[in-house]
Amino acid sequence: MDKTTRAPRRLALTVAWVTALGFAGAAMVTKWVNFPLSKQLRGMDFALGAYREGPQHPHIFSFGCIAAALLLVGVMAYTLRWWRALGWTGVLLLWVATLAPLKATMIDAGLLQTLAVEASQQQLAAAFTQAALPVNFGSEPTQNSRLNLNTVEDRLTAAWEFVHGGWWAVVCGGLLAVGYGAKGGFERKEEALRQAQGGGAAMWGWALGGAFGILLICCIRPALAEWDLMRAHSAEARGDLDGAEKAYRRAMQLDGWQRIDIDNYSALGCLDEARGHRDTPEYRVYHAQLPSTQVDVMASIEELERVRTNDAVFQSVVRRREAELYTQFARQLYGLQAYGAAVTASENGLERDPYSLLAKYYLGRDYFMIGKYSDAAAISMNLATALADPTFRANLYSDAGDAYTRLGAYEQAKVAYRLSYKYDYVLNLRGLAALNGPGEDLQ
Amino acid sequence: MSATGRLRSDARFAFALVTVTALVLAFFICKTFVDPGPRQYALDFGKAQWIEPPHPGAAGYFRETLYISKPVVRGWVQVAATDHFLLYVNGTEVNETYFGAERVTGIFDIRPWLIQGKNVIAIYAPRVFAPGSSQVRASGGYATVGGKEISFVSDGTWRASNTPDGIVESYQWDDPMLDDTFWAMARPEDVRERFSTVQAVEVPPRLFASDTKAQWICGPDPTARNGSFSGEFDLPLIRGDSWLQLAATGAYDVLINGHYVIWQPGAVRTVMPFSTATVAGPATVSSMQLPGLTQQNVTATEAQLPLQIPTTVSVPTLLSYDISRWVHAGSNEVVVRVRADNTPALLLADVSTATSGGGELRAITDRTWQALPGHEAATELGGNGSAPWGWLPQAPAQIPETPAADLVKYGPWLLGNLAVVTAMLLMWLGSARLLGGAMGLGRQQALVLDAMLHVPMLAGLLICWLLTFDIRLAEDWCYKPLIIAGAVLVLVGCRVVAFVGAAVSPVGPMRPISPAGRYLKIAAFAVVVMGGFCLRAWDLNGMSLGSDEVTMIMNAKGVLHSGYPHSVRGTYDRLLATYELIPYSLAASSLVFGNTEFAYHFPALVFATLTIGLIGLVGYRMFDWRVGWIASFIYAFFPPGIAWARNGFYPSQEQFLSLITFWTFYEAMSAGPLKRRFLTWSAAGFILSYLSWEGSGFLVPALFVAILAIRWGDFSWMREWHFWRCFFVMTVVVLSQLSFRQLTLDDYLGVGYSLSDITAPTLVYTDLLVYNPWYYVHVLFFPEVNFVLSLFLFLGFLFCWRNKAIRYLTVTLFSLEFCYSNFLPFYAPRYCYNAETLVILCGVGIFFALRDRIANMGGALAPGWQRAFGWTGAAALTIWLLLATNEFAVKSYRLSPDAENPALFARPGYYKTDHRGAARFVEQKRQPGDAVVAFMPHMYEFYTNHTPEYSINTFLNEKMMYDGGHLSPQFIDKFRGCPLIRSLAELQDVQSRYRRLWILVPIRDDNVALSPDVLTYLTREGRVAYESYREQVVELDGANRFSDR
Repeated sequence: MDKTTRAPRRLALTVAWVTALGFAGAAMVTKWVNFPLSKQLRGMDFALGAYREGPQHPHIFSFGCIAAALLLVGVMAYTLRWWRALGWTGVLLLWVATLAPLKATMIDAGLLQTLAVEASQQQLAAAFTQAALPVNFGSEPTQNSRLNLNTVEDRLTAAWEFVHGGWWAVVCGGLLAVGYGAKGGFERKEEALRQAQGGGAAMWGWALGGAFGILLICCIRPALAEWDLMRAHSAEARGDLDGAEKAYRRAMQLDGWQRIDIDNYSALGCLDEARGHRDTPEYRVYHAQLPSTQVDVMASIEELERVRTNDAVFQSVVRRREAELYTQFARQLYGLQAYGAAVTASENGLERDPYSLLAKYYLGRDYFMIGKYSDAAAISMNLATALADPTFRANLYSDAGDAYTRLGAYEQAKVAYRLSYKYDYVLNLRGLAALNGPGEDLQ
Repeated sequence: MSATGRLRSDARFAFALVTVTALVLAFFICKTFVDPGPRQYALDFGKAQWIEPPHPGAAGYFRETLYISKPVVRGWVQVAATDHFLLYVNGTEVNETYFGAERVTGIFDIRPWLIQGKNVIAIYAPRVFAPGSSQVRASGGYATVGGKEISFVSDGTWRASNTPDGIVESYQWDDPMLDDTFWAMARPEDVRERFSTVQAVEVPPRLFASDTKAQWICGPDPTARNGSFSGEFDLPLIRGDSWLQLAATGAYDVLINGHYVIWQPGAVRTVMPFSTATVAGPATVSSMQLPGLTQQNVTATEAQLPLQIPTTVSVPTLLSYDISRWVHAGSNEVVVRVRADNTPALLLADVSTATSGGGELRAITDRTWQALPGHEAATELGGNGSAPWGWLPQAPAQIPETPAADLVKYGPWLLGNLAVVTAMLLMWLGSARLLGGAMGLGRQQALVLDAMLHVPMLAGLLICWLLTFDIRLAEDWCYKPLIIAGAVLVLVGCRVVAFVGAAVSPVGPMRPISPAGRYLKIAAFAVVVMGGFCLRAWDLNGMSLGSDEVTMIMNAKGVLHSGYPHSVRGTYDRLLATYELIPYSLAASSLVFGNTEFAYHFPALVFATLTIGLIGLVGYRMFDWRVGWIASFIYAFFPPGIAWARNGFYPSQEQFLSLITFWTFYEAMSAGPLKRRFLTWSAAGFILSYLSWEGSGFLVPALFVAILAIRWGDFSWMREWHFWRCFFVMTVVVLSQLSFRQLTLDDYLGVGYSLSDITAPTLVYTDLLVYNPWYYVHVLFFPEVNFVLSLFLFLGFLFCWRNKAIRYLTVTLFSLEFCYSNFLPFYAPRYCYNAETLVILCGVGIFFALRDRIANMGGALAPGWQRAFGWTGAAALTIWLLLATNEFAVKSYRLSPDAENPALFARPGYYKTDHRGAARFVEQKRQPGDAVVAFMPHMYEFYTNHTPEYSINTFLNEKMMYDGGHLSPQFIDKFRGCPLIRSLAELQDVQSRYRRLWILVPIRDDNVALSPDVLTYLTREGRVAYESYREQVVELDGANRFSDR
């Protein structure tokens, strides 16, 4: 290497290492999946295995760690001018990036459920805020539009909407690596360049074809399940109840998301009712889900509590629904100013689903209304610290500020209101007015 | 490139060209036969006239009173209005429809709101786009029990006003109890539109104009909560559309001829007006009520009125579904599965099919329907109008997705595309073989020649596609078999011509086409610049000045007074620490033209006109004169360019200066050693641009990335001392300005948030409250006028990567937008305005690269007829590009991602808040003892030379300053420094001190100033005395109002 090429080469290597390390860091530390409310899900927490609800911890076999390792391999290959290795590393990175959002929405039903629940809770929390709290009059800027997850298309759209910075870093890193690998990078020697470029088209073909293949493989079972659901509805409409049941069950077998969808159990219960079988767990779910039953939410909950089944998944679906109904009940009781009962309902909801952010939000306000200001401030501050959604966070801090004010802890109240305004500084009349308030004398 | 290499490359391009043409044709075929969009129905308003308020203006309030003697069984109204309307019936809002710059329409079932006695139909039509007055056209009808249909139309008998003239503390303007005899008569007015912009609706009006005769039916077990029903009907071969109207007591699934087409997962009910909610919740019918239902004659008067249904808050809704795709000639079967809650499963359905003679075929639920699975005859319970629900409210359906809707939808699309592409490629291969044989050409050359024959069809289809987005045409006007047949005929015709041409025109060398003369080109550029100037100068002062402009004007006055930009706010003297250069150009202009609106618009007009010429020059220098001229032409008619040229704020000036920076930097570094003179110009352009708007600072990283992309591998420029000298000077200017800005930021006494709080780039990614990485993708790349340019940009830049100019423009553009999205924590359309020139240049550059590739396919050996095809096709594509980028020719408003509500100035005619009209009105009316309260007091002061007494912002969404210099320290507004009203209590306090308050407030959502409690108070206690674009003047009597009366 002569003097004229050494300096540019050194510069290029520096740029490559800085970029790769930056991307690797971003892949590990920043979010791959942006949950609507909570601070999940960083690359190093995004495990290849099944998602478990609750606090997430770093995992060696996580998408972030694997992507970071590949990025480091890629930059090593670049340094050593192993163009083909660099290109194939890029291909693997692109495959990892393709797989990650598909895992969230097509493969891992638990993860998709958490996403859906948070999106729903975001809407419900905003509705509660508008109806029950001193509101800020603004709409929630970060709020996702209503999340629809009925079809494969919907789920792919959701996959696209929820991907975040870490994922983008990996995609950019992968594209750069494939691009450089396919082009022969910095190679000036004609022969090496020709060799590198010879495999370039194939490399792009593998990258894109492989990504498409992963997409197809991940979508095929959900698509078949969808088709079975359609057949189930058609059979039911024609009065072929047995055919409908078979199709529903096949759909639930094919797709984990359908398996944890309470509407499918309810549909099976509806078939049971048509056949006169009113003692099945599915019928109880169906009956509990009827709007006429839910006029009395407790009756609906009691019906669900009577569900006994050996199917652990079914049982967990029922328990989660109970938690949702308790939380819904708490909201109704709050509207009726039965705050003490609302506290009990929220606590029951939390007992069944300890990760319900909505139940905690309601509970914080319920405590405030019954005069348990310390508890209200504590739960609101704890919850706010754990959240990412700025508007929700700001409301929680304002709630805490209200509670501290009632306690006479004005310094803490001011801190809470200031935090509220820090996180929502666009339309935060509540926080701003509490901090600053309209004056008395105006001349 | 060798001749063989060239031919191989052409063959690859030919393959791509044929594939793209096939995909476009496949799109047309699928839109026509596989998946047509919603049907379009033009509304027939009959004798209804366009009416406007007595004084033509931006706001129109219209009222029509109907006296109805009997209970209503049917009522409907269709409305058309300019831009935006809100329809009220008896004080209840029925609908709001908005679409900027077109005449919006709607058809509605209003029977639930009509009562026996006096009824008022009220329409509020505020304009958003200029020019012209607010206008409305309406017609409708109603029928009473046993009575005929009575129709009503908008005409000179309607009442109209420019303001909502209700009664203070009493009836609002839309209240039926209001006596509107003091309102003026509406003025019938002709609409002078050469091509109507009145929109079609997506539901057939015939469904609203007639009643269904369908019967409520149930199965053999009248208490069953689930039931399936099946019915058959015959249809003739020649017929129109078919619609299914359906109401049920629960959720339902519908199968038509075995296809699962409708899924309603929940009971669809309408909450009736006037009815009272009960503890029982939604209306239900129990089996105990069935005997009542089965009585055929319960359609008595009392049973039909919503008012007469004591325990019902909601009733099943009769939803309309377009089922034309699933029915066929002959016998058709409908199966409906109803899943009710705690009510019996009941169904009422009606299939309406238009016949060729203008008539209608109806198939209704009755005893001929069967209950499944036993096929027992269904039981009729009573017709529409039966108790307990009476006549059902009617609405078009929003069809929820059926399970597998995506598979059902995309499967045929995929197959259709595959079939068309395969067929077309095979035809291409076959035809090329024949052509090659006839002309004695090689295989690759024949393929290239035959591919050329596809270009006319491609251009024609693309023009048709573009016109589907024109609001003057139906959205589906070209998705017709005739158009597809025409396209295929064009292709066949081209082939015939080619074979004939092959016989008469031997292969020969191409004659060079003489380039246009230099003077002709200069004249062409001059015409475009002059045309652009005239467009911008026309109606230069038509729109009121805006808040930002007047803020700059206040600082310009500071320049004239003290030599530097500053303005007084309360007791502060606020130094301008942003847009520093703007006041100087405004001050210079006002020295010449005085303190007039023209003077403050003039600098922007000059800069915008210069930009037309400059973009042409840049296009010429970076590409060739064609790119320059077309870019210049597009920019001359560019709606944002025209609008900003009439605005005294920074964008025109900054865009001009940043374009100089982009161009000179390219000239400096595009090849060989850096050119010092251009580098110096580039640095000067950057500094001036930066001092016009600090956001231009992101030009530096963008240009760094660009030079790396252009000269990757050649880093000799880094050793160029002059480069770093320029960089140093620029850095010093930027750092000095940022330090100055930080030092003059009076945040310590300010409350709230404003743009002035942004002093340095931040990582917006971490601020989820504002982070929106796709904002500029929507606002810059895909508004209607940029859409096609951006298509070329995104699809073509990688293919044109070797073209240095395109690479430079693309990399600069993407880097700039990346910076704006990720490092500037505020998003606004004006922030990407400097990049608009890059989009135009880059889009046009890529287009011409493609166009030249098409025009020159086959090279010098191409026969004359082929060259003719090539050049004709290329010319047609150029026309397509020009049409797609010129909204004076094609109003392609539907192309925007947010078509109803485009970004600021993205569409011609957008009118910002009319501060001028409001201020002048108040100045005429105010009397001693009155006080003026203005959200933007500096606007009022500019137009009237009087400072308002107060400012108001009870929403607390604008920054406010604590002014300790007053006798009584208080909060002041950020615009002018007036005492600030921040709550209802403060407003009432001020109200008690004056005889009368004139409150000037914005009324659109994007400019909110008043909190709901204050709005409610003003609505109840105040009177809107004046209304114009986005601005109202509310007159509020003071404390002594009662004694005055």
